[in-house]
Formats: sequence, C-alpha cells, structure tokens
Amino acid sequence: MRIDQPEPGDPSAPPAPDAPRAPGAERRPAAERPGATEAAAERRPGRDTEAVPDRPARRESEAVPDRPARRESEAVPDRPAQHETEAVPERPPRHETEAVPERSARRETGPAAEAAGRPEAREPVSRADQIAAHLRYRETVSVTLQAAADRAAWAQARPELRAAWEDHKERYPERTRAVPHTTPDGSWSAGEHRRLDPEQNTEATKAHADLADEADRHILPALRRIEAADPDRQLAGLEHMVKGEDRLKEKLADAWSGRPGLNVMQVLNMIPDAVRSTLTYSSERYADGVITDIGRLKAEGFELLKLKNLWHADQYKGVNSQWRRPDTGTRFEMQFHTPESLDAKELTHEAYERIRSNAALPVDKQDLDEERDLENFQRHVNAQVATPPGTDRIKDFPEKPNG
Amino acid sequence: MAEKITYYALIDDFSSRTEPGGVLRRVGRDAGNVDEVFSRNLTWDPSPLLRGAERGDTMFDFAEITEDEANEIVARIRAEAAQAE
Repeated sequence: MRIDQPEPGDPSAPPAPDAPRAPGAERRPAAERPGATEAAAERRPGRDTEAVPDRPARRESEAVPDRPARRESEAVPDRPAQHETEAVPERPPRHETEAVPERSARRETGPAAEAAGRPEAREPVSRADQIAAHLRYRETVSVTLQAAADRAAWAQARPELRAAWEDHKERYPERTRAVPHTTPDGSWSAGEHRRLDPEQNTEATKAHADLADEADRHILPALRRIEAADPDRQLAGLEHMVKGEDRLKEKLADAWSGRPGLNVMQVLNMIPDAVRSTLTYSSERYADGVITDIGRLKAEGFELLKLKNLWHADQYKGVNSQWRRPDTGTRFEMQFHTPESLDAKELTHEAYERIRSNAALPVDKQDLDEERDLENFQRHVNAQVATPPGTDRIKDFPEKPNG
Repeated sequence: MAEKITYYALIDDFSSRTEPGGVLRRVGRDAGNVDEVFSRNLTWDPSPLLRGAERGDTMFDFAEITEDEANEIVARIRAEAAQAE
C-alpha cells in the first residue's frame, strides 16, 4: 500500500497535531487525555514530546503539506520490506512522526474537506485515534529496523557457520553409509535394522509413484494458486517436493519398527512429509503471512492435521504442519520459514542426515562424539536465527491441553 | 557414571497419551545419548525417530513417561504380539 503525501495546499491534508483545529474537533489538554502521554512514553522513553499532540509549534513545519516531496517515499510503511529497511535507518528520527501509516486516523473535518468531495473526510477523528495510529506507525518502524538488523546479523554469521561445518567434516570424515538396495527376492534393506519384505517393498514403491503423481497433478497446482495470492512470499524447495524413494522406505522402515500393531500401509499413510513444500516470508510479515496462508490452504480444501510451532526449539526453527487431501487421504507437509530459518535448515541438513544415519546404527557402532558435535552445531546455527515478531500467535494444532 | 534413562510414549493417529502406540527410551551416557525403540521384534533397537521429532518431524508425538509407564507399554506390546501368533 502506498500513501501519498498531500499536494501543497491540499485542504484535505492531515494536520500536524498542533495545527489549528477544525470547528468542532476535540481539543483537550494532554493531561486530560487518558493514557496518551503514558502510552507514548512507554513506547519510546524520553521522546514522548514528539508523540503527544501538544508538541512545540516548531514541529508544525515538519508536518504541513508543503514539505519536500522526497519525504513521500520515506514515510510509507507498507511498501516492500527491502525498501523499508533501506530507507528507514537513514531518516532522522524526528521524521518518524511525520509518517502516516493510516490516513484515516488523521483525516480532518470541516468545509475544506467537504469541498474535496470525500464523504469519509467528514468523520471526526479523535485524538486517541491519531495517537493510536502514530503508535502503530512507530511499531512498524521498530519491527522493520529490528528485522533489518536480524538479517544483517545472520548474513554476518553465515560464513563462520559454514566454516564450522567444513571444520566438522574435516574432523569427522563421513563414514560409509549403508546403501539402500533391493535384493533378488524383492525385499529391500538399508543397514541392519531397516528392512522391508518383498510385499512391503512393492507397496512402498507403488505408494511413492502415486504420491509423486498426486503431488504433481493436485497438490502443486493448489500451492501455486496460494502462492499467487500474495507476491510478498514464495514457495521454496520444490525441487525436493517429493521425497526420494529410498528415503521414503528408510522412513517407513524406521517408523514401522517402532510401531508394533500396525501394518505397513497404515504406517505408510501416516508419513506426513513424503510430499513437502515450504513458504518463506520476510520476518516482518511472517506471523500474519503464516496465519493467512493456513486459511488459504483450508480454503483449497486441505485438512489441517497437525501444526507445530518450533520457534522455541533449539535445533530447528520454523513452523511445520501436516495436511491431508480429503479426496484421497494423501498427506503432505507445509513448512513456514523466514529466509534465515530456511537457510539454517539447509545449512544443517547434512548434519541432520548424519545424526539420523548414526542413530539407526547398532548401538556399539554409533559415534556418540560426533553426534554430540552435530547436535551442538545444529543448536549453534539455529541460535543465530532471530524469531520473527508475533510467532506466539501461531498456535500448535491440535493445541496442547496446557496451552 | 550411571546411565540416565528417559522414557517416551510414542503417540500417533491410532494411539493416544493414555494408550500409546509404542515406547522409546533415551539412554544418556558419558559419551552421549543413544535412542532405542521397543520394536516389533520385541527388542530394544536403535531408532532415529526422536531425533527426527527434535528436528521438526510431525509424524509422531513423544511424551515423557515414567519407567513404570514404559514397562506397562512394553508388557502390552508383548501380550498383543503373543495373541497375534
């Protein structure tokens, strides 16, 4: 959204807080306005004089309509995030108060406004609304600045993290992994504990092909429609949307082993991430974006089965969710990331693969020293990922009984 | 140093916290942790399932339980396996 500054002399322009009031407009001393100065002081101690309406008259000149046009671009809170972060830090702080995040809160009343032919301009706007709009703007600026700082911190940390991983690989050269293979009798195995008999292997092979087909014909087109609804975020990881066949069988074998009482198809149908996709959002828009896209996925007819907000976790950051196509019962996973959390996930992917492989080995063959190092690496990387604002609004599903 | 063992109930679509579908234990040793699941072979076998959950895998939920609760699940799995034979 772009908010245009008024042209010089525009009678509908929003006045500075101390500008002369239109007839009938409320005017009360600051001390009589409940919470006005307190709220401003709470937001930014020591700067409340900029926020309250009774600031000195010298400020009027900063807010009147005929200020230089170049200020327009500096005062738009809803333009694309990268522009915000580039422009906002260069502004002298005093200009924050000039920006108007929501014009409606600062519309003026009176004959001039009527002459402008805008019926909505006749609505009186209270001082409380003006202050609330101002505080919202300050919040926007604060979030934008923090996001820019977080992005910069991640960019700065990344080379060191990459080097740490290279260092790990030097200290712990990759051991030979069990190679998944199908034997002449049709069974499948990958190491000592991962096995599928011929019938299970056949079912898993067919299931993999069906999943790939369904992902291509039904799930991906729906995700593309959702992606198209908002240009501010995008799908990622589509090249790995369908899990590899052997990786699916590894996961099936691991899960089936730990799940006595179920047959292999029951376990196979519970695997949530044989088909997977990711949406990434800027930090500033993350929480609202995720919540909105959960609604869009539901509107596409998908059923939400599970959602885990993992921003509190130490070895992984993001939100992972499990969905089902009611027509077929096919599950897929949607991950919601910031660019930084996705980067962290990718940076630690090899470490996780090593952890998983090691944990599936017979106990006496596991390398616990390396495993501890790998987990510490995952923690170290994810500790550099900033948590976007508002993630506490993204609730687990089903919600835990204790909240 | 003595091993520290933590038990977890494994919960999925076909099970619940009151009647878990399986049980996993994390054995803490000086060198590090070893995870084992009570498998359909009726033995404690190595398992990456809990590591996966820590990395965001949503397939199973794990709830920490007491050793007595874990023993009850093991006994139930053994009984069901015997009945199925």
